[in-house]
Amino acid sequence: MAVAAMSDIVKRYGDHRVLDHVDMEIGEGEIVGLLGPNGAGKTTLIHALCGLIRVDSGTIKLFGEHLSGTMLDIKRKIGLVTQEITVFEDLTARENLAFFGGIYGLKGAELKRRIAETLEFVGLEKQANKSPKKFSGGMKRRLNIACSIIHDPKLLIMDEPTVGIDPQSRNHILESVQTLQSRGTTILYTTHYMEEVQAIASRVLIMDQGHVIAQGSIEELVRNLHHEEKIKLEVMEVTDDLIRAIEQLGGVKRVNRSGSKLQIISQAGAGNLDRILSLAKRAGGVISIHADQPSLEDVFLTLTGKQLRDTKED
Amino acid sequence: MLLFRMTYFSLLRLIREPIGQLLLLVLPLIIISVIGTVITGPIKGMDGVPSIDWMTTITIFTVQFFGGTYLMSLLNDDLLQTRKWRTYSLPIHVAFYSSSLILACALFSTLQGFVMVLFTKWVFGVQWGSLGWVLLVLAVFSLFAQFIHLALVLSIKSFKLSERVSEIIGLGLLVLTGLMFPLPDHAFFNWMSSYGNPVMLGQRAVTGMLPEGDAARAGVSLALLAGITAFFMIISFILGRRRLG
Repeated sequence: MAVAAMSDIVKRYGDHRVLDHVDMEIGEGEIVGLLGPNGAGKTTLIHALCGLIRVDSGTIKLFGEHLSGTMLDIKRKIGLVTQEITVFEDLTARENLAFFGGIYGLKGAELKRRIAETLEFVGLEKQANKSPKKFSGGMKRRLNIACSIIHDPKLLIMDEPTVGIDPQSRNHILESVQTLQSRGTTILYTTHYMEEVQAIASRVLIMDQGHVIAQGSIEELVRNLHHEEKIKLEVMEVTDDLIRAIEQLGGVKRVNRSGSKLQIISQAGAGNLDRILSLAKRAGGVISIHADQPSLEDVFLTLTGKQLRDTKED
Repeated sequence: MLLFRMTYFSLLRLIREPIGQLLLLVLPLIIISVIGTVITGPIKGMDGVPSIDWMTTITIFTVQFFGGTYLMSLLNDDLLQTRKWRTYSLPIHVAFYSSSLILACALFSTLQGFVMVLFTKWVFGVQWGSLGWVLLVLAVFSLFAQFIHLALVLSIKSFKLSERVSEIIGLGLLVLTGLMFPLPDHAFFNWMSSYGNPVMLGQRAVTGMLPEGDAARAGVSLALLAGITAFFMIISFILGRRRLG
């Protein structure tokens, strides 16, 4: 069963279509990675999915029900991990969880039990009575997540939950996400870190300019690019003439330059490796050359024409 | 029950916020203490009220007015800026969430005012009359301050601008009490230093109940204050439906 489904969703801000006929589905128990460059519409999609903003057209279903009205019952089943840290800095970690847990209807012994479990789950049990003001960035992020899972949501939506934290906290969060999935939670995970999606996602959605331009498992997406090969070339001197010459070779789809390095995406089997090597030698000499199969990062680059990591928040 | 739980946590947030305590409790007490040691003797101020009493009541009600900025700040953080999406994702009506903030801020501001009342009563012997009545007036005035500030933050898009407007209104009300300098003998100013100024309504509601005072005037002043509060509550409700959904 689809836990969440969007059909033909359009959302405009003025004349700009932030979501442009978006269709997507999240199946029960999945971890879906949502990737997209700056301004792709990821956060808007998340807000629309949670019923936080009204869409102009299309239908959204959560747990089989159409979004309408205040949807308080549906909201009880969702946890939203916001991009910004949205915990209360003047309350302790325990008080933060008590506040949010109370709103989700937990009380008494059950609330106490859930607070203890959740603090342990995010590794903050020793900091339970401390103010987040004294926390590191990673600890604040973990508390931010804790406040969203205190009620054991069926669908957890995470909007860039690992921005600006140390590798240890990142690993902790990624492991926690996998544990939540193993307990039956469905997760929509937005990030700028490709390796996070590769590590945890069972399926990937790639967005650009308000469209979902690709979706499927990582293997499926990479397989679609198997008819291409990636050639990384480092030369003594990169000239415009050399780039033009490579671009004019049959089967070459794209040439990206970064300093003295070139990355060339070419049709597989076009025999361009030798030709490129010859051109580079004539242009002044080759330092190194490497041919490879495409990765998820290449899928993203091919589909959007943009690097993911360079981008900032959506 | 949930409303009280949420109010409790909002109160904790207010109590642990040192800047507000400093500006709206410690600073006024210092000002009152400094002026209180200067103004001594049986000098009579307006309406036969001793000058120190007159100055203290007006200062406290003016500070109470600025107590509404607590609500502006919490509402801005929780529903308009930083925490907006988190709050909206919760299974709770926005009006309910806002009510808990209003209740917490009104309670906190009333208690702060009452601490100042007790301080001036015990240290400077300011006559406050029945403390129960004073608490009631402070509570109504505090609600008025919350709702006028709620109307400001909901009607002005820029939070900083709404803060500036609050400062202008607060200082304007203080000036129109005639505390800072004598006002011209003109019908408008006379009205503003009596029934036209919420700060003076609060002051008159308290002093009217003193042994030498006019109880009817106190009752009318409190009723008018409650009326203005109700007016701003309705305005805030309309603005809130439009801005917060």
